Amino acid sequence: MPAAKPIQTDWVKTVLFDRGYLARIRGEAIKVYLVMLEASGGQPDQSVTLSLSQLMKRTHLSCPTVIDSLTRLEVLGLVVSTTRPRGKVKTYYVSDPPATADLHA
Amino acid sequence: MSSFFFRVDHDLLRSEAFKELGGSAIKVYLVIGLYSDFGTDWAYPSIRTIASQAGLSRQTVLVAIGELTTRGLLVTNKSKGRSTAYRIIRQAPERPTKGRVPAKDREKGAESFNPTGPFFLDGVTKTGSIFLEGPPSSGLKSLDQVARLLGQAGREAGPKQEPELIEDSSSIPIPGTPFRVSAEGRLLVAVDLQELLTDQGIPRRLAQRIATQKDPEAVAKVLLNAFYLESQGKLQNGPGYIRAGIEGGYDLLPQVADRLEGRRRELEARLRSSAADETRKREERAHVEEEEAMNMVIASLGVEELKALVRRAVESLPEPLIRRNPTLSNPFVRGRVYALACGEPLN
Repeated sequence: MPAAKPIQTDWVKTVLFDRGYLARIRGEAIKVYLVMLEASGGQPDQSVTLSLSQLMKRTHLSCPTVIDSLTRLEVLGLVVSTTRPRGKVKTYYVSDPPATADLHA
Repeated sequence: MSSFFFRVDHDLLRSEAFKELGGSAIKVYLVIGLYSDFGTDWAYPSIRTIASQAGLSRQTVLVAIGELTTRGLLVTNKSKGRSTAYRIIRQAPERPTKGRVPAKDREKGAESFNPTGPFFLDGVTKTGSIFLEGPPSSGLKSLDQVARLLGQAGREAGPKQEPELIEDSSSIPIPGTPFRVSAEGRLLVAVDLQELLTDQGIPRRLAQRIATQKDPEAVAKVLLNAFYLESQGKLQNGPGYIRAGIEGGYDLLPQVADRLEGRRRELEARLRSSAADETRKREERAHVEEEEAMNMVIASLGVEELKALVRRAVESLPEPLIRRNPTLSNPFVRGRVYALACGEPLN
């Protein structure tokens, strides 16, 4: 029987629950985050980037929503943005956020 | 909190259900999954706990639970006097039936099913993902409703729907009923039996006793018989038949058993075929990876070094393997060159 491959289990539990980030992620950003996590194999990986169109396709969200979600995730430290040499294209990768989600930040 | 893992399947993330779910529903899904017992898969977090963990209001959590249940990603079990139990459905759910009524509307008395489904136990229908000892929200309200669904309507005219997608499923739905059958032939129940029995006219207290004391599979058999007889117009006293059947331990009617066996065989065939597909894909992937590894190593070698290795490879291989083609295009020669260059053979 085909077995669906899971996202690295301890990352979801550790980051989203144990560190309290799930409660800080608002709106549709969780979908964007899960899709990025899936693409990177469940672990932070700077080499894995997704284009905006891929994110839109997989999450079924509109472009402004995806961009807004990425911005929110970046504020939380869950993703990091990098800018290509000419400064026009922004890419994002999953990062290892701080140990606890500071609720008062 | 359980020290065991909770996984989020790739198939779920790529399914239509995931795309259509709201962010709140996904967060609730994750929280419930985290609280799931490793062995039984049931979770018992309170609404307050889910709201706190997910950073949502209580009302939002309730709406999200309804949405997850409607989409077949969650099963709930509400027993009187006990906390609500939840069970995550891990496989990619089937697409929602066109015209299916959301759970909140069912509670208002609207019809549970769009009565355009096929006949009882024939064809394909979308009853949602259902598992043993599960709960609720897709219960049929009455035998009349089931009979209408089962006996009279044909397929709805309209655009052809995509074929039902069942991936990774160890069970197959029984059309026109809230039950499923596993590859081993076990009947799987994923509705609140007490509510279902009450809806069929069984007094509430008796229904509660039956639901807590009787084997769910045995109860399901009697209900299947009742559904079948009703669809044939042969059931005079539904509640009476159900009570007698449960107390008497009725087995499946031959006609019902035959059709269940047919569905079970269909499931077996699907599982075999998916297993074979998966093996073939795995082998293809392994072959591609091997080729890539060999190409990468060979490309990194210098011309003279490569020639020397090819010479050594040809000398070391049995003659029948290199007789017709003693060059690098021979896969055996390529494999041996790789092994000589890396110091270890390909797995």
